[in-house]
Amino acid sequence: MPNGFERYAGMDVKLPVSAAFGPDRRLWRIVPTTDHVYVDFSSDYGKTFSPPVPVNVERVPIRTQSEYRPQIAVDPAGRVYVAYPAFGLQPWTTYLSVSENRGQHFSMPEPLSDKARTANSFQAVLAIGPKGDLHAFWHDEREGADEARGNDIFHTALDAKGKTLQSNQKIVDGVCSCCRLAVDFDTDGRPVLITRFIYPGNVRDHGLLKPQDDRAEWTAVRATDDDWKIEACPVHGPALSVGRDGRYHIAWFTQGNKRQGLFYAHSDDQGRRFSEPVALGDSKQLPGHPDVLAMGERVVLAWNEFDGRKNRVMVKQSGDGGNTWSEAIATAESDSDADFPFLLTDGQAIFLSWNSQNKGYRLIRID
Amino acid sequence: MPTDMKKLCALFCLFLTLFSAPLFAEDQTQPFRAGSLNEILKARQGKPFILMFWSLDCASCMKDLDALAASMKKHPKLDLVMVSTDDAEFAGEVNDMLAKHQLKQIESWIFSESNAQRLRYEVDPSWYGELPRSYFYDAGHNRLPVSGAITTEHIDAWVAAVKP
Repeated sequence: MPNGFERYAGMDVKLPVSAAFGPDRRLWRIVPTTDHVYVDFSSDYGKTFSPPVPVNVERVPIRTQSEYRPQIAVDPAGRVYVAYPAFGLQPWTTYLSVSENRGQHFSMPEPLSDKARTANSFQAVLAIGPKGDLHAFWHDEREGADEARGNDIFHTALDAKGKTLQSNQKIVDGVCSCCRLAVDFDTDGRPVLITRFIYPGNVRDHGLLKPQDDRAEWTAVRATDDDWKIEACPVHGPALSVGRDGRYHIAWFTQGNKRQGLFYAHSDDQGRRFSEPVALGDSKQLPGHPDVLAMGERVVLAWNEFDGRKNRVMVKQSGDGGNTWSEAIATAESDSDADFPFLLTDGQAIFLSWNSQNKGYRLIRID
Repeated sequence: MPTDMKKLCALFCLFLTLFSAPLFAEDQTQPFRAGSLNEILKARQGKPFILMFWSLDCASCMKDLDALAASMKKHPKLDLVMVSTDDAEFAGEVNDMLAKHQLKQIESWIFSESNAQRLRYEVDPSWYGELPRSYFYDAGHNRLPVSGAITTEHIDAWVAAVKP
């Protein structure tokens, strides 16, 4: 078995493995196989992992892909939340489960959407807020599914004790039909979401969403202006990180009329205006699937490049909040199929989390 | 043997050869591998055609199937080749979907390499994998890539220009 999956012999482990640090600096993973999802953790920064614990007892076809990811989030009390897409009540059903005993057992998975029986729910993302509140966002087809009009995003939030704050609230429509959502929290503790929208003229550029106050109203602002007219979902989601200073850092992919490739920009006024987009990567190597993480003055960008044979994760850093940047450095590579690169922090250091077919799972510290 | 009997035998033998070549269990869809694009091009030397990559999972692709069928009816000489990027085990579903949308006669292929990323790169090193992805090949096999669903107007214009 490849690195990081020694305990998964005989199981058909899929590439999209998501990971998150817990408050005790354990690295938690959600590992999908053909019909189960498992959770394990590492107490030694990815060198060894605990025995996998199954989340679902009953088999169900798991529908994860690199762009349709399983989710894992650990709250300050050590509760482990997971969400994953499966062919369940509907062809796309997102299930949620939680462990209240630090990963030893998981609750019977329940659909995230309260209309899961009759409508698809997919592309869910889980995020823990600064107050320990859990937020889940997903694409939901209960009010219709029209590829031209765009999708609705629904929201459920639980407080730090697991009590429901919001349940199945529609927060926006017009989202590009399969776009992955990226979430972080502003300095006021409220969630900020970025995804691809369908703008007039069938332009598929990015927008930011944030709740206006503690109730259901969300405001959307346009974040990118690339003029990408495409009659399809490019299935290539963006990344977002909000710095301690309130600066929004975004990274995204486009093939718009105005610019093509991978880009980074930041905003100091909650997305009303963004800095001039900076191109990332070698345009001849299909730079894509970015992630970004801001921690203090440090901002790190990671993305994938492919030269026809090898996948390489490129990393670029800023020490001044994203104003100036180092040269990109190839940090990991694989000449097999690979997942997308993700940046994580244990509160002190920044790590690259990356899974590939031949080299397995790697957690690499970014100094 | 009389000449026309010989011809008949030759034709019959050719027929047998073609159909004894390893194909999938399903009739219509063939395995697309490294080198398959060259095969497709070779079989069409000096002829314009449209090559479309699609997937059962892609909503815009599904929407486009009817437009394609309409175009085929309107332009009987239009040569359309479709390549599904679904896993090879879905060949049956691919056939069913094409049949359902009156595209049963279309030349159909399905990705059959373990590394789809390399296969895509071989087709086009600047393709990120978005679907549907079409290539409009003219008679000289210069091609124009288009991402997203293509319309009957799109195809009408191209047909008028290349006259297949």
